Amino acid sequence: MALAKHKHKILAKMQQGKPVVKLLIRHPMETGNRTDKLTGGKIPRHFIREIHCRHNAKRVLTGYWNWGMALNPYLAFRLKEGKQGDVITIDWVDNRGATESIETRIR
Amino acid sequence: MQRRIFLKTSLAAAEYTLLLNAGLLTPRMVLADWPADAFHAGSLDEAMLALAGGQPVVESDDIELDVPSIVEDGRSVPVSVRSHYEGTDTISLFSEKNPNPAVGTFALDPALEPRLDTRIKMGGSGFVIALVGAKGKFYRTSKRARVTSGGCA
Repeated sequence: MALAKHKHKILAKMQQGKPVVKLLIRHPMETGNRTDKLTGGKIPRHFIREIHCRHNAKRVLTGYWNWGMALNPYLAFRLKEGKQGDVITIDWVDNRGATESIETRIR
Repeated sequence: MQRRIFLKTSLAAAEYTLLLNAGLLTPRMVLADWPADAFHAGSLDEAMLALAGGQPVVESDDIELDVPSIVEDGRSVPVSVRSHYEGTDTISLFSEKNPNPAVGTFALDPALEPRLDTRIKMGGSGFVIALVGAKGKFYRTSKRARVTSGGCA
């Protein structure tokens, strides 16, 4: 349902007094090692290289990934402090230079 | 098995330190950029050495690493890491049997709990390793997982 409307999913909510952020990105995360059965050639490597997570514009988490992260990557992290209404922004860039971002407020 | 990996890593670390001292390599500061050397490394030891910046890596019980012991689909394996080290600022993940074992590395601000959940690919049955950096020191823990269908074919 949510996936039909939005490509990516994010959920940020208070859990036992602390914010928890869960993120699901749609991305093929191709390793470059797979063979295309139709052409017989290798499927080109295509993966998210870098991801940045911000809490109220302050950077709290940076990830550098290679092609070994799962297809449609999932990431969950927890903040030590925060409150409802705080803004969580996540942006990422893949090895072809495509940038995307998603933003939500802590519930 | 784990001890052997550790010993090999320690020896390699000693060599790396020699190179550092000789000024042949510059230590990378805490993850300023995509770590190409680690991510393209074809062996676990090499990848880990690169992400630990040449520092020795200590086997540790103070990192909780959760990986299912039997993995049905190696393309998406849930991994959960929780460090008990104060000042944890990096968490890196490896899958022993991947063509390039380093999978990802995270730089954590002190505002974060030293805990991450994610999913990785496993190219075959073997160890998943979490490497934690805290205050310039590096610690690791490993979990073995049996994969019934690979993710890097």
